[in-house]
Amino acid sequence: MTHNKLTHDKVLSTSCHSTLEDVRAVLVRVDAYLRAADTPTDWIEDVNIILAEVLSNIARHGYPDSTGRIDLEILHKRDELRCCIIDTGHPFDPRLLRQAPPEPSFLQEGGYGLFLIRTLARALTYRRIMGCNRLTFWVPVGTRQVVAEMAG
Amino acid sequence: MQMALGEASGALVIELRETRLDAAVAIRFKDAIRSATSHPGTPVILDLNKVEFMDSSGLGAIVGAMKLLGPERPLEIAALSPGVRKVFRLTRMDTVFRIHDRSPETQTLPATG
Repeated sequence: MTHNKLTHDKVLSTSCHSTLEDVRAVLVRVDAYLRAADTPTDWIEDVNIILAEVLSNIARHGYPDSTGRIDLEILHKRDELRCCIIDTGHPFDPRLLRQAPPEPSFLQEGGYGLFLIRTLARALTYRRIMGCNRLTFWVPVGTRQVVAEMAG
Repeated sequence: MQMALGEASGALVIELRETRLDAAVAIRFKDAIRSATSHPGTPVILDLNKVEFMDSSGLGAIVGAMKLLGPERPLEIAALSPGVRKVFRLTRMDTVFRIHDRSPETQTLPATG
């Protein structure tokens, strides 16, 4: 992790292999980092869900014939968390798929992940650049102190 | 996949002793439920009090477990953490399962690994 002394922004940069076990280890690290930063639990839950769905999608579908690399960078600003996920797997734009969740009574065993990403992530962007998938989004965060200030 | 089996008011209680029900363990979870419920009969309550995080694969595995048990053997869920409850709520799957706020009081059966 690095700190920008002028803005107090913090950057968490990490990477993992495209296996579900590695993805889990990264998610546990990010969760521990956010808890240590005194981020309100509700937002930690949102970040955990979005990142889990994005990273496990890449692990499952991005590199079908090999194990690839996934880079994750989280810019932790005072009241928002900007996330950027980069991989060199198959092109995949999660914004192109339908927004509606599966109908509960259909009892589907899949199809919830992209809906959760699109529901919780703000300003989801996707670009394919030089053979890389680059996905960005942000979620509102902050410390309990910032939240109290915002509430007046 | 750590699970503990118990019995409460005629229902088989399966307490999942894992902190995460996610893509990395979803298949193992379904297999473990299959073997824990191999004797037909009682309703099943899945006690998730230890689970701090569940993703869509975990949710899918629970739906799979419900279908495995069939319509005659309801699967109910108990003791959801706020993060797990959020996934049920956002996907509206909380309308499909009966969800208990607390873990049932159980009589313990021999543990399973």
